[in-house]
Amino acid sequence: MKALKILFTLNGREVETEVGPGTRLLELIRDAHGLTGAKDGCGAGECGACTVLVNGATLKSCLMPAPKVQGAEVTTIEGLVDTNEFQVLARAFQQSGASQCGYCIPGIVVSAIALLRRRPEATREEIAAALSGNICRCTGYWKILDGVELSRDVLSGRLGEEALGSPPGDNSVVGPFVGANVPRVDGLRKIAGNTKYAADLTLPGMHHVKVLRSPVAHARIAELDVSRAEAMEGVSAVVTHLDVPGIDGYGLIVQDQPVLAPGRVRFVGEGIAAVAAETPEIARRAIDAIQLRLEELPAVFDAEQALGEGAPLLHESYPGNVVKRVKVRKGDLERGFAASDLTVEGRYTTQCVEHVYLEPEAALAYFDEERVLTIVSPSQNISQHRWVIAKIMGLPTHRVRMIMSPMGGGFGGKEDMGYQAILALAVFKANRPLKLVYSREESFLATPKRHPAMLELKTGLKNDGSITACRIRIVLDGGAYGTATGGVVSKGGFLAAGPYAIENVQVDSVAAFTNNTPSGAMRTYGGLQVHFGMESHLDVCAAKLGMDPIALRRRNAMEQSAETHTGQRLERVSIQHILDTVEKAARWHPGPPNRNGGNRPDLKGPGVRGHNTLDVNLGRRRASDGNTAPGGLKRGRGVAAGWYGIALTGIQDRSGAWVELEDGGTAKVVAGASQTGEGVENVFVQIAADELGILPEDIVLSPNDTAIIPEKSHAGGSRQTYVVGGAVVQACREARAKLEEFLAGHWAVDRSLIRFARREVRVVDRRLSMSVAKAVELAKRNGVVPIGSGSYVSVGTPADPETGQGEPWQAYVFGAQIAEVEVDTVTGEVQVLGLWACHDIGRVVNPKAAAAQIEGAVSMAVGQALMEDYRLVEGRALTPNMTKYIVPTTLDVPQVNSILLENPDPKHPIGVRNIGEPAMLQTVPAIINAIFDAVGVRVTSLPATPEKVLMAIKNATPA
Amino acid sequence: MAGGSILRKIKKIKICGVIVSPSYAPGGGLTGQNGAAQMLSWQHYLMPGNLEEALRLLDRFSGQHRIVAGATDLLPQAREGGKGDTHFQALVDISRIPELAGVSLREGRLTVGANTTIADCLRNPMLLSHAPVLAQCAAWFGDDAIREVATLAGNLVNASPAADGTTALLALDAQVTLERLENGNRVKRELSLREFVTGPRKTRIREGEILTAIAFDALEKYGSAFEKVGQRRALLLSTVCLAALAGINSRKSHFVDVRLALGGIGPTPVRLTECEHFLNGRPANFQTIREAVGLLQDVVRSRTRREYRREVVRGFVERALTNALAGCGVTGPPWGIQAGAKEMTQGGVA
Repeated sequence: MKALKILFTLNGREVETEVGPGTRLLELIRDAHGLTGAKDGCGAGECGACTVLVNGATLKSCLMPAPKVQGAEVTTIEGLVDTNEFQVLARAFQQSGASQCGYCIPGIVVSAIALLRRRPEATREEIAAALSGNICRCTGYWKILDGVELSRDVLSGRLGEEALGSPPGDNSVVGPFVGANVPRVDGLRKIAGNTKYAADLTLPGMHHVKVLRSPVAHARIAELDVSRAEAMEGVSAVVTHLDVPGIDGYGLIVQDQPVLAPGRVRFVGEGIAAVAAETPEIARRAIDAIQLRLEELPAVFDAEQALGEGAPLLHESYPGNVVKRVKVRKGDLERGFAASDLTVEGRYTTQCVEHVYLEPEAALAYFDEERVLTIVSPSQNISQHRWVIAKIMGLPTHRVRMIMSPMGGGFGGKEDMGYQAILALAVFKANRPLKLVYSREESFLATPKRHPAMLELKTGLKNDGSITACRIRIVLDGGAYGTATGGVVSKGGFLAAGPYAIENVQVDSVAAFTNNTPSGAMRTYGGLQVHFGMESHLDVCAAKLGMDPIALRRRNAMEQSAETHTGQRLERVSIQHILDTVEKAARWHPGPPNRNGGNRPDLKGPGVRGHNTLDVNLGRRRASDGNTAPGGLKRGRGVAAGWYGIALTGIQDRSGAWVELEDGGTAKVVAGASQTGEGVENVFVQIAADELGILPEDIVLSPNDTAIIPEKSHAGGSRQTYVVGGAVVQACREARAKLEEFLAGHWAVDRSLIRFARREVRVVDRRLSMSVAKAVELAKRNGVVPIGSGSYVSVGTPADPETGQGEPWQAYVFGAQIAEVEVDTVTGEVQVLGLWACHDIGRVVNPKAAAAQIEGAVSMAVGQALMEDYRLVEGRALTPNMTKYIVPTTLDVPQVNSILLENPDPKHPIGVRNIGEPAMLQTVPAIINAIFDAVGVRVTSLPATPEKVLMAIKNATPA
Repeated sequence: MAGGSILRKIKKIKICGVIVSPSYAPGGGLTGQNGAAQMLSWQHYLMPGNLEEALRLLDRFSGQHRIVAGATDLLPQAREGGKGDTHFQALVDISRIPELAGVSLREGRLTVGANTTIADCLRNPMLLSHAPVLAQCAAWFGDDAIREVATLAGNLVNASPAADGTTALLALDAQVTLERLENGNRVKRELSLREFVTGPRKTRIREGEILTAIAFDALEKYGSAFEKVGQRRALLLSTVCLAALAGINSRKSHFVDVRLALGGIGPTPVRLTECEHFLNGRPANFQTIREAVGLLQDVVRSRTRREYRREVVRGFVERALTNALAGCGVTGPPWGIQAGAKEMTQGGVA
């Protein structure tokens, strides 16, 4: 095959390049020209992360054969950063909080600039339509649309530059910073496409790794011969399970998944062998040269069947395929049911869901200067991954170094590992730097998913709505390996009966091994499934009682000092107040569910976006209020409440931090910040700025690198702001205390009178003051080094195995949401138009970032409620890529109206809690309940696809 | 039902399935440098400057080429889940051939070159005024970036059963022009779109032929509508789509020429001929539309979601025709009272 020489203009400069056969424009700009702002998110034109301009039009560079740009003008994000449009848009995005993980953002910026050049007066609806090919999984799109609208107005002169907020480097804001909308500290570099994700990195002499995976769900490996692959030229290593020097096995809670299958595969896509070679093509060919013979074994794909008699056993050490069972026992269930006027039973199921972080897995492995095994990857959990890899490699923990690369979204999916361990095996054999990048298909195939769940609920109620008894049975599909399942069984079980004061409760939560893709951690960790069950069920109860669904919840909601289902006495419970607040905010009109057809007066009010429809004359999408849109559109509203435990479940969840006040009055904060895109960098920087009396820009956060940070870096259980944030507070206070002590002596004043703020230290009611910089200098000259270390522990206690009684978390977040939907009775399509979310998240560090977390969670939940479905048939995915696995676009998300209640956490040094996961609990049932309200049909199995909704409507209509 | 648990019987022990790679190894080794799929490759990428040259190239690489225009379907198809590894001796890119561009109107027929993009349907004034149904279809087609390069001709040649563009063009009585070389001479033939598309991904295009132009009716005074449903609101494949055109008499009292084309319901998009015949000559009002819907023959031949598609077809015909009539200035009963109307008709039919 011969290379073709093409001539084109790249970012204003003429270039001549040779392109090989099969090269796409995306590879041409990334590999040949090193412009990594455009990302490969799906490789199939479905995500927009690779968007560039060709002759001024937005195009997806992953779809374009490179020779097509012969003679054309190609502009990438790198070629736009010097334009006025970009300068305005970048500041507008910072102002609105549009960028989170940043992986989709360069593509969105390119699309937005192209749109504003084409249509400087584009409406919000046109902007949404123009960006509908750019998938973002973090933000829920709303703040992106805000940012584009703001830049449109500034560019057109309708708004002055001051609308963009203070320019970067402006110091007029002096604090306090906790509670302020400090712009994202990582924002500008992400918006400009400068952030280097793992797939953007290269090392001299590196080889590329590919993995051979199982095509079947359950089989004995009868033959595995890698000799032909090993003999190929350019191959530096072939690894199998035989290369594991230590104790094989990884996973989040139990480490039962082998790095590469030893003798038996248990799911489609399980790794069997891996090859490192000079080029990815050679590695692929070497994979093809491996001789593999599999003998299929009987398999089981349904959790309840797996728990039944005679099912094939997945793991010898887990009889009956039971991963874990959790019981909650409170009161006397039978007596509770006997006291009821009415019992209601229901069965609810949730589907398998993929995280679809925009960044597929990617990693580099090498030996650092100390010959420490080093792995750079977007890991949410480097502290755990470090010791697991050390165990697998038979190394002392300090001989392994994990560095977190900037993460293009995680949502729990990157708490699990796998490819990092494959690289660890291979790098010892290849003895040179290695790189591995998953395609979108491989990311879907090989990584854990959200647990599918079956929930059976039975409640006893009095006619006044009070719940006398609640029995819940939960069966989760854990897939082929244990990983996080034990935790999900527990968290789901403890939360299942909701934030309600119920005297008699029985929960049985169990998870089974099956031959499906392993289930792992995903945002809410079992919480979403059980909330869908309970909150749907309460809506059914409200309908049966003819009672307003909010009134029913209020009747049962926990009060101050309530005792939870696990016997934990809670100091502060805000759910009653939250229900009142969200009801008022949404102008909720009380009444029983199912007003059927939208005859309720609270519809189409403020806080609701327009209905997506088509302008017949313009041939362009437009929004209307739904009144004029033809054809059987029915609106309805639904409500759901919920609660969530913060930090890891049932254990002492701990983190440490180090802080140093440096020369010049700046500071460095060393802590495990697993920045998944949620903005935890801002949390730590804002906290430290207040604690040290300096400005956010004076602070540098350490890399998230196990060679540097103390334990524990882990983004999971919504723990970072609470636990790691607590450690940062304590470390700052210790560093500050050293300065205070010194200054107290220096000034001969009581230490308690010394205050730090605005880069200054002063004494209350005295004229004594100096700059922080001066104070540091003076202290150091006198032998005092202002460094501090701190740690914070969130206390959870293990549950009693028979009753579940215990205190799994010390902090809880309560919340409630109301959704307004519109159902098209011709197609069964559901659009979520408005959502009101009220959450008590303790003290708020950054209101805009907190609201962004809610918007992102809602968007992800809209996907789970209406469209997402990782469908496995005999363990094989029917939805193996982003063409088939559908996630929400700009046109599918609601307007989110967030209300943050600030009820400081009594046990935390600065009263914060968290929001990343809790915001996602209520959205799905609120939507499903709203569908019931609109058209009178109850969807009990997710997702509520157009087909499911329409057929339910037709079947419910009497013939 | 989808979602929840997929109930499967436990298979009997089967120790016979012998799988030897590389016959099937999903995901494994399927990625290229920096995560890119290396699944499509070609020996020659050719960009002929005129049609004659293009036709000669097809002759030269007979049986080993693929014609490329917007290329939006090419790479996704060559990935896992599609055809997997795909190699072509030659990709013949026709997107720069001047003869294949342009829109012209002659004797009530519009002719568009093969390089007319979906975005052109939203921008070209002549297409907007004389074939608004194409714009209505284009507005929900892919996304901005896809519409920019994807062509109407590509939509026809790909022959997806749910192709939106094919469905809209079918309603416009489109005809395709195919050209090839025969003994060094250019030979042209024309086929109606109904004849051209024969099945899923199957057409009557012959080896060495290029679809050079599409001609269709210019129906300036017709009302039109395009309905489409998938799993979301953008970048979606149609589960069902419908193009409706309504021509009425000058007194606006009767249907004269109704065209209904339906996609996503079987191997190819189809016209609802019987329904059209029923409507033509009858009063142009909501009642007639209701009657027509009541008499609809079942045309759904899809293997999945049949019941759902049948329901949607009925609703789409009713809504699209009502909207198309509204486009002619005839408004039916306001849709707000549709629920009542539906009950009434149901009573009548029963």
